[in-house]
Amino acid sequence: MFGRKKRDRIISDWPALQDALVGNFDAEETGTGAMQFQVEWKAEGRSQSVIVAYAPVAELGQIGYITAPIIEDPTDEQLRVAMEESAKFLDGGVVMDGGFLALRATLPIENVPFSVINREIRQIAANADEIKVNNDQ
Amino acid sequence: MPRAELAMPWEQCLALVQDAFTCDDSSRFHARLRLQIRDKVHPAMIWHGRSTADPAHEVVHVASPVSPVESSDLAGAARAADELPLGSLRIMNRLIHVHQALPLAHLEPDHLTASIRLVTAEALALSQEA
Repeated sequence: MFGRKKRDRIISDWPALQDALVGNFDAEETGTGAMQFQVEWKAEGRSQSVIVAYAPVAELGQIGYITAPIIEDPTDEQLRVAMEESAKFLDGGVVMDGGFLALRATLPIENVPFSVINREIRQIAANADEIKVNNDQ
Repeated sequence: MPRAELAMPWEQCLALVQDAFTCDDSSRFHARLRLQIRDKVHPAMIWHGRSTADPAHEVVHVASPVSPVESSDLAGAARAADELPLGSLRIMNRLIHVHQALPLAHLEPDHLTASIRLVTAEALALSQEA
């Protein structure tokens, strides 16, 4: 149907989410099978890298991992501040992913509207950008 | 059925959790829990969250403590958190916590209780490594 927006799509599985990420964010597959792309705020000339991966988790089904890398080789102080700042957000917490301090949120991806995943991706990107801006000040 | 059709109000979520777990303390907005994880008992807390930008977007926060910030290897804990199936790390009240936010609009009862058990088990495992 022409009037149906892309974001209303119900995601059935990981390939469907990969397809939606390519269509909405020009995402590219990484060597590990995850999808990587930039969330851009064109008016502000800013962008944030985001990686989305998935894994099956017992009792929970297919879980999507939304990761926004922020600072490479962070100090303990940068980690502490980021963990404290993340407590102010509705979603997301800190992990170290491949040497990067990163903000991560997880959510089920089966039978979830893409609008929900899209909102989560944009929120995690914005929260990561806020931590980055505060760290740069 | 799409999860969007399985919305669970916060009050129902709170009642479900109080019924499923040992609850030490609660209010309309939160519950403090004790969970038996193998041969250990470990605390957890849930509370209600709402987006300021979109009040229709509500979540259940689930958090379980790992260790005091002052005595923790933050980088080591954050590297270990990268391997967690569900949660990530936040600092609240000078304690590192494993935290997970579950959107209420897409939450099924089994997913809620399983997530609380998993977050608590993850926090206990990290606390034993700390």
